[in-house]
Amino acid sequence: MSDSMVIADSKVGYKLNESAIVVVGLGWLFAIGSMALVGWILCGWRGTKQISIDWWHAKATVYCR
Amino acid sequence: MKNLIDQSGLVAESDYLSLSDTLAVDKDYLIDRVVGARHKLHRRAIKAVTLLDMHIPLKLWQQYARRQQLTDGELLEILLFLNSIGGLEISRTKRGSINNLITQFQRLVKGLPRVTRARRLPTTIINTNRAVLLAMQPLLIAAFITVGLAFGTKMDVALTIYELCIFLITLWVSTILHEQTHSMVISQKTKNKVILQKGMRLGILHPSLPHKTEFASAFSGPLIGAISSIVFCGLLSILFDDKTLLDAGFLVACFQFVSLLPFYGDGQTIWYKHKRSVHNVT
Repeated sequence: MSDSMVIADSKVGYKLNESAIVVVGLGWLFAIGSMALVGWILCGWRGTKQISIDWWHAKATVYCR
Repeated sequence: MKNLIDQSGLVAESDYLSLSDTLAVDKDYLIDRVVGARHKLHRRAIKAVTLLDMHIPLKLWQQYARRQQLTDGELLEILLFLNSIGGLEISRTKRGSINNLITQFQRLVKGLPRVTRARRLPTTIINTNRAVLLAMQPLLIAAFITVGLAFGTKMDVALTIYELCIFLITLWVSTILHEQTHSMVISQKTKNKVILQKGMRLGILHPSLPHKTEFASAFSGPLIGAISSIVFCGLLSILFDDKTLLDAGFLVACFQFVSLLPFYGDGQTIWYKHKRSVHNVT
């Protein structure tokens, strides 16, 4: 017998397949957060009034105060 | 003691360890009653694993194991395996939880590998809710950071919080319904199932089922999740007279449909079952 303390049963898999929804949601939040960060960088001390996102054309417009 | 804790990042000094109710030691096998697995135990590991059935303090377990001439590395191997199948239950005081959070953060800063704790829970609505909330923890942190960034750049923080809350609540509700749908379809064939949660990953653990049931379960989960998110946001948009809320519903519905892609999750199950049934026919 090998030195492993436990030899897993190869006939069974423990798949944790459901992560897409949460991961994609996290990706979405990163995108939104990144937009806010971009607004902060572009507008500086003036602040950002609005960020308008055109998802279809992959275009974002930052309106500074 | 410190060696084991440092290595794993999984357990802490004051923790109590136990084996999940769905696992049992039978001679030199660890039986997983849910999936019908028989994992072979090393003869020196049998007593150590059996002892976990007694809800034992980590310190005591380690002392006992050392008398059985098990090394810290071997104990760690046992703990990591049990954790990987969601079979390790860890009871921790609030102080222990805080200490563990600090340890995890320190390990993150030092670039040390961290072990994500896995949980195996009965598939009740309360436990599904708990599993989904645990999986969504990174989203809550990301949302908090996003609000901070919005505040920093003088954007409308109230509006940001409002929109994020709608998004997160819709995601939360639809994911619970998604998982519960899987559970309900599987219940047609077996009551022997648990929900497994590890980090952002979730799954319903169950014995092998007929192809049709697997297919129905895999397909219905995302479908119900998508429909529920649209309905939920539709109702909110009527209640608050805000049509943009419906956009959040459609967005989360798209996220639900992502899980139907054939690369992972439900989509992979559907694709795999379809291939198997095609091969059976030919």
